[in-house]
Amino acid sequence: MILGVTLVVFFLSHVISDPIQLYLSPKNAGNPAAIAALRHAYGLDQPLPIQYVKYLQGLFTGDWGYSKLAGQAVYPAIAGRFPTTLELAIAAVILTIAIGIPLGIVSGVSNGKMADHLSRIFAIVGVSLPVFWLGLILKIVFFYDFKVWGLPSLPSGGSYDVLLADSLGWHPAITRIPILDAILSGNPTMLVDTSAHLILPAITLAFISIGNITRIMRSSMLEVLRQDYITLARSKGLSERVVIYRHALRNAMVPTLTVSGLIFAGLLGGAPITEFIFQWPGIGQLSINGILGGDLSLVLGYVFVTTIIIVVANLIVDLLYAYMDPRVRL
Amino acid sequence: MTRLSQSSEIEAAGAVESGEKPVLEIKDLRVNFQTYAGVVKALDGVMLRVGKGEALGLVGESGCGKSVTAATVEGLLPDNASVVGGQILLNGVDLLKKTKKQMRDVRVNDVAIVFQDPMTFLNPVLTIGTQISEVFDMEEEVVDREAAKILQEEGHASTNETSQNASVGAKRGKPKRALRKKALRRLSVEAMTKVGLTDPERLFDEYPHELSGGMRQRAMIAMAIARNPVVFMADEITTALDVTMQAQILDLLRTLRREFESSILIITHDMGVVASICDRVAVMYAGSVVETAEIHEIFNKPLHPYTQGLLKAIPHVVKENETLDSVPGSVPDLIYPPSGCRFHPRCSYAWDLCQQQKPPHIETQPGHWVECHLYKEEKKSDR
Amino acid sequence: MVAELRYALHLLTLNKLVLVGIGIAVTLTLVAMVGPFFVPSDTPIKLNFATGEAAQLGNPQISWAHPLGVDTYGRDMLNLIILALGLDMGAAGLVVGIGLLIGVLSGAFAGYIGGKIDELIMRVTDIFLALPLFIWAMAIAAVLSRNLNSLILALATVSWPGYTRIIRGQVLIEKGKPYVEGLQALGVSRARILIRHVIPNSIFPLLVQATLDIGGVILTIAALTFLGLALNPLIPELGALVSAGQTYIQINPYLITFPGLAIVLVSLSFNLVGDGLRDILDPRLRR
Repeated sequence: MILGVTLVVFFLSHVISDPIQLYLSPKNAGNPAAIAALRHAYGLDQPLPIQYVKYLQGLFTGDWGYSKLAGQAVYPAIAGRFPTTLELAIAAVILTIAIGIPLGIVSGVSNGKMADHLSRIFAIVGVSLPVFWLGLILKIVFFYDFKVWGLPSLPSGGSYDVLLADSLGWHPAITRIPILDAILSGNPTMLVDTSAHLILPAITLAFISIGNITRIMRSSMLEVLRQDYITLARSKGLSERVVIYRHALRNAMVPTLTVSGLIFAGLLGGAPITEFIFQWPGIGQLSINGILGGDLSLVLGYVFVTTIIIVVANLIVDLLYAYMDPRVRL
Repeated sequence: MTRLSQSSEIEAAGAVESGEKPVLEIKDLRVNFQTYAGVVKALDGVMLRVGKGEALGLVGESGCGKSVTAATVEGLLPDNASVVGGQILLNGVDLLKKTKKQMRDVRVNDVAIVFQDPMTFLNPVLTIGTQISEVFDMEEEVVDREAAKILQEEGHASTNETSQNASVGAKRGKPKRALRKKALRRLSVEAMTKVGLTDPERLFDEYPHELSGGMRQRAMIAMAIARNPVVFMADEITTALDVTMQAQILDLLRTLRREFESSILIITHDMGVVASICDRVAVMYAGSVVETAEIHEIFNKPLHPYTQGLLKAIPHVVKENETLDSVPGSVPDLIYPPSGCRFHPRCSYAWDLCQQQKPPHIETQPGHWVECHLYKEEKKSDR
Repeated sequence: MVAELRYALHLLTLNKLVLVGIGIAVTLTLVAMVGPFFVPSDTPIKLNFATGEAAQLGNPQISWAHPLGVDTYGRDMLNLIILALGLDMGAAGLVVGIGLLIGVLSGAFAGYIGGKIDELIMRVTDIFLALPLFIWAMAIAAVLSRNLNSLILALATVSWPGYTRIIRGQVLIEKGKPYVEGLQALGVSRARILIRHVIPNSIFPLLVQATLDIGGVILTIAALTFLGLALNPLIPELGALVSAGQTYIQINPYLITFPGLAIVLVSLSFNLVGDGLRDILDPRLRR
């Protein structure tokens, strides 16, 4: 499966466009002799299958080519930015689950009533919003308008205030995750700062995911509540609360959690647009810069990473499924 | 409730003569369902009496309203159903007038129901043990008593202390919870043994899909008897089982009846089941009970034309070259039911009155009720 | 049968939102198709830098002549949105259409024939499913030329796997039904059975998904054009409009609100319709 993906990526990179682009660093760009030498060094003058093998080798050893935009090799460039994306992804997922799941439960349980209708409207609107627009609108309100109205405004970009950090001599060095590092290094000012920066992008991302989760939670809740064993549970005289929480939820959670896992995996891909709007220095933003700047190797490296993440996530989700549903056990 | 009775089932059946107060009495129950094809008049004046300790069979074709009746008693009707008339008296108290919360108590203590298909009626993600325990969990005193017993056995306290601490609620913290769990487990295991489940300790921790059909059915029965209900309703519980398992389950029911003296309502379409365990039988057709009588009466002297047709349709094991009679026609549409007596289109004795008026529920002989214009009241019937 | 129809209709009316959704979707489609005829044909090219600059400096220029204001080049916003709607909705339609075509063919084929071919097709489908839609489209757009057509192509190539899965599942179900066996016994060719009988019966879930997808694809197209992947500021495009107005949001938020709202409306309406369809098709046992 992964092999298949690499095949496709390889196809794109080596067959469609001139692969030498992948390996040229600026200094060699204008020099035909150097280009020829590079071609030979990278085996680009050899037949395609061999090139493919070499490509695979490169992938495994971390040699993903050189990014002219980042001014460094692709792999460390991506790896370096990953923790920041991780922070955003985790924050968004936490928000999504914390709001989406209860909303879905309420919606499912009170099917047809006002609470249900409201939740559904909320969810559908959430799913219909373009990410970039939502981000911009939030920026307008919370950043610009707040300032105008004299309210403490949320920062508009970046994951932390670099100037402030410099003045404090602080640097996210431990885990490279800004908010975590602020906690770990016991720096309250930076903690506030990193949190403030985190809020808007996280909400933007979460808004849409919440829409999804709510719908799935609702429909699986409805499905479960129709089941016979729920009737039996009620016939035992159990209170409605117990019926819902002990009997219904256990069953209804399964599809929801698996979807959450997939959402998380998707978010790990960096939600490029959100990162772009909020200048969040993660791998998403990196990929966009790469695309706009025509930095092919960067982009391909990114595609590879995200695809791997999704495949792995799928595997984990399958395992999780087996864990939660005793019927599926090995 | 657990007094062991030496009397045979027939003796216990003598309980319902006219005048004797029945445990469960359904009077003129009418239930409608709101559907997109129209209003389904599912129950059209059901009259039913179950005496203390007796086993009443409720028979009829699919769709005649047997399950709906049971569901109404248990208070488990779906949202689109509405009770439009009648009473359900449990020891004289009208269940239909109870609030939701009160009904929950009723479900815990008084009326239990076991359903047909144990696979779909058991929660697949919870262990059997959990599902049985939660029934006991509703009764504080029972759990506390068991917990006290455990403490006594483990010699943790002298007799005085034990009785004082009998309310486990008095204790706090971890030991209390673990104790409770133990108590629940023992109670459940005890119930499982009573229904004939072998190796209950192991089964306690297993999941429904790991058990066989017969075992699951027993587990469901365990959940029902756990509360020593006054009335025990069994809705087609043998239908999904093969013949041997069927026999075992019926045996189990007989034993339980002797032990607990609960009244049992056995819903089935299988006359064989009725013959083997019931004291009396009520025959339902299209939303009403058309005939009720003791089992011998029904088989030897069926009064209602439908009952007669039903019995004629049963093949005799011994007879050869028998043509199977069946009741002509098919089950009526309950959205636009036939006027008057709902059976009249299929009845060979029908005449004008049958089309105009629904026959009253009358007692032609002591203990034998019919709804048919062919018969006049011989005794003054009581409501 | 009558009961079923009545039930379906009742469900529709019950969910007023769906009706709203259908209403909006139909209106928008009409606007997109017919509107351009009412828009002065030189709108996209008629640049009026004076008013454009005014808009950039914070004067949204909302008036009867310009009910939605004016964009950064001085063009009338309403006209632009009408034109852009047509373009974007058309693009989305194409993406979904092509995706459906490929998906239905491959999925039905795979499901019906079964065996090795089925496995092979499903493997390929899985691979494409694993690719993150958005990223992939970006990548392809980056590699190929940067215009709307390559975008459409890129998106279509990643959207078909979903349909393949759906229809394959449906076909498998249909295959097991007795009428197929009957037709085969009569000697009807497999292809004919597939095209004339099996596929029409499997269409419903596809329709639902396709409707929902139009909503989703519109968002993706908007996002991609927002990032500037289909350069050419003269072509009116919802995402591009938002992008152009980005730098001025502090002073003139209208530059992004109206195009954005248009996107939301389109997406919302199709999502509502798709949701409603799904509700109707859901195997509801009672109410």
